[in-house]
Amino acid sequence: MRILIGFLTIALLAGIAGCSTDLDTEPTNILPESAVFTDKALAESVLANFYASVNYGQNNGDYGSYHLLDEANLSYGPATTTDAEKVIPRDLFDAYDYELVRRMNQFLVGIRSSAARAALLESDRSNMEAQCIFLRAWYHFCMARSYGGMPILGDTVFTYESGIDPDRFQVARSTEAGIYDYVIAQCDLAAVNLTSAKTTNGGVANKWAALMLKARAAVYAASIANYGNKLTPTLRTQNWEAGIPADQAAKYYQIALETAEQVIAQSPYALQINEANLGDSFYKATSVKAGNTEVIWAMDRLRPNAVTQFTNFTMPYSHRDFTDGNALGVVLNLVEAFENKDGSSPLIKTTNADGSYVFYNSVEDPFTKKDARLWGTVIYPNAPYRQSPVILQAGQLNKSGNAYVLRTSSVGGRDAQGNLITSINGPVANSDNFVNKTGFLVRKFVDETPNAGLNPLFSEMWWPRFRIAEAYLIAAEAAFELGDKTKAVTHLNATRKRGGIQSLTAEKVTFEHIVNEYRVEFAFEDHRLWDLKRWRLAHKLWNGIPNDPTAQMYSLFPYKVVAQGDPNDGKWIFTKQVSFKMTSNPRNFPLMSYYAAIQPDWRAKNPKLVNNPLQ
Amino acid sequence: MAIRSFFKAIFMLFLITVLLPGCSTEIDNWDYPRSVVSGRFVYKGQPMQLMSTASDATGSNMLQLHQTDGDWIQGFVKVFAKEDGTFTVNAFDGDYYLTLTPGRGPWQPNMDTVRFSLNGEKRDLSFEVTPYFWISDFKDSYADSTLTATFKLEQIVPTANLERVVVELGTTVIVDNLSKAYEKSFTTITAGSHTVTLNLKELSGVEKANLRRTGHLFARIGVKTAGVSDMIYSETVKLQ
Repeated sequence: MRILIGFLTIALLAGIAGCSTDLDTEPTNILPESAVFTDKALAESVLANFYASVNYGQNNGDYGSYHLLDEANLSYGPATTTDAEKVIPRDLFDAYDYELVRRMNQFLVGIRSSAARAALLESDRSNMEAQCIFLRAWYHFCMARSYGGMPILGDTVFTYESGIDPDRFQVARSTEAGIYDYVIAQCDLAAVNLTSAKTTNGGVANKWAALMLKARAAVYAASIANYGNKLTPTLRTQNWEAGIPADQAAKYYQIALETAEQVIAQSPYALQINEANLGDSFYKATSVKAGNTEVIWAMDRLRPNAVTQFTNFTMPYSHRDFTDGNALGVVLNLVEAFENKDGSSPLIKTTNADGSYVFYNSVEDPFTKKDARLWGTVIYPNAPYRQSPVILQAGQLNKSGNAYVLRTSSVGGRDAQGNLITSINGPVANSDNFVNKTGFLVRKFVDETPNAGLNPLFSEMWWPRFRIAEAYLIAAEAAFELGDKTKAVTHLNATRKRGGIQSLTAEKVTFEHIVNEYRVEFAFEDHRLWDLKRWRLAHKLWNGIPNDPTAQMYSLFPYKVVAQGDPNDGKWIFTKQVSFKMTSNPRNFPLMSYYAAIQPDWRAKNPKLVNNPLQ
Repeated sequence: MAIRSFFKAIFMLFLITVLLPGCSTEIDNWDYPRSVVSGRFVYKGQPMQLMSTASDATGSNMLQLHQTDGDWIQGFVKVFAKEDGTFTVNAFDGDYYLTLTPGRGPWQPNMDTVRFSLNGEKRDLSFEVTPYFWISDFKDSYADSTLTATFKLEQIVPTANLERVVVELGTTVIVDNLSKAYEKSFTTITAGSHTVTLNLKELSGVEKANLRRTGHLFARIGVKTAGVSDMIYSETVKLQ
């Protein structure tokens, strides 16, 4: 052993002797802080890294992130029962990254230094400082919606040096109200120095993004104070690290209302409504950057480095650019949430009282009478994508004697007369890939640009975080809760108008209207989970009971009647059944999922952290 | 030059392969814990039937095992119960206490602790709980694809509200609210003796297909209390 170590030492010495001994060279791959904060482009590149670090939650960079809620289900492969599918996890889309906070605080120290003040234009410098403050507030907001109150470190950059008492590093959790107060105050601070002009594709945060975050944080805090104490009074900690006292609700609703109305009145953004084509104008409002008047802050994408495969995976397989398609199917539950223009029941009737089929003259009939925003959100059977219709047909309805029988085939199959039986897009209820399983495809965020699904450039589709429509809904919700129903319906009708559905009156408006308006306006935009959490509705709607209308996900399969001589020949019928991929998993949101768990190793390092409720 | 550095690299590689096995010492290669803690949940001395799915992700551990040595927060060992209410966990010797996981279990929350010293093994621990409801005298018969189950339902906690009674069917012995192939709810049942029937012939095609997956069928009665996520169950029976 000793001899071997001797050999090794000799070998090492021999190796070192062969190297260059000059260790005082300036490193070529590391920039010193003094250089970064005196150069606008370098400081901006640090900021760009923060922008790239705060993409929390459901988003269109990962089509799988839509699977667990009540908007869409995956389509590839057999029905599965993973843990997350059985029970919506309490840490779903959580954010916990104090290293990011430290880097942001380092940035603030640098950008506030006298060297930076001397070298940079003051307007540039204060704008970058404000952007960093805004992004830090956004991070705290994203953390608070999962964890409630968490340690607030302010601007301190914690640096360990030998001999320091680690007690300094152990900061207790703030109250849940306290962290929302912090977000609101930081947004006010940032808004002063942020530009009030629109930024390119909403990619850089401006004053209106800060005010939108302020309004959203206020309405979250208000609804947690309001509904938390009404519906889930046990979900709180002793000292309100989780939960907000009920008497604070009015204060937060007031902040939300004032801020949202300020954005509506003063910002350069406007709802995009083209009366001639409501459906298309809603699609453009969310998914087309050119001429957009609605998106305030987005994660923008630019080829070749920042692209998404959302279009490649979710576009109709019949229209595919590349190798995939139909990977995400919209569930019937979402489609039925869109109201009918004539105010009739939005549920799609498939059978009459006596059990016989309801016949529709055209496959689009049940959908064209719905809120026009359905067209801009979902591809329903025969709706166009890139100007050509998307065929979704489960099979045929034939006549056998006097009885109707359903007939399906392998995808693309045809009968002896050459009529299509089952479309290449499905829908089908089997474990094949590339076929739809629910009867509907996604349109929102699916790129209309030719070859947007093609490798390697894919799609430059953005990910909008704040749209002006949300200001209207926050104002409507806050006004409603404060008792001003006239104001509430004015704001609510502003977004309902874009769907062509009937206006509401102050006498008729209910809380359910507001809940549903958020659902249809912001489908696939990372609102649903957080909204149901703050309203304390998640455990009621997603109660885990099989065949419950809000917990079980459903699909709708269209069949074409092919029966010569029958009066219904050429018409369409639909069958409603549970969504194939989620057959044995009705959505299940237990009370504990309202707050993510404080991890034991965080508590081992910081004993001042208290656990969340139900852990 | 190139040849010399090549031989140097070979020589280094040789040294590393010879030396590396010698580097490993006992200190960073602990044996897994071999001492055993086991016990069961009881109500007035009677064993109880619980959910059988043990899932870390959904936090279905009914108990937390805490070690009391040391004055820092060490976290706890998650202790999962089996369907018959028993639990077994391996741990290192030391002083421990067991507590209920807040929000889990079909029983009234309590802060009870069961304290013990572990030295080799600690068996037959009883964790006493007060369930909201209690199922007894469970009997089943299965004939002509129809399951008939009789049981007595007793309300233990007067303030509890019964949400529903369910018949859970599964294709493995693990049958509960989380792992099931079919569930039928009865919402009109109150405390007392009951007979429920489930005719499998009346199920839909998809449901039947789900139940045929393994060729075996197991059933269980569950009782759900309003506002409580976990159920109390009957024994699991095989349908044949």
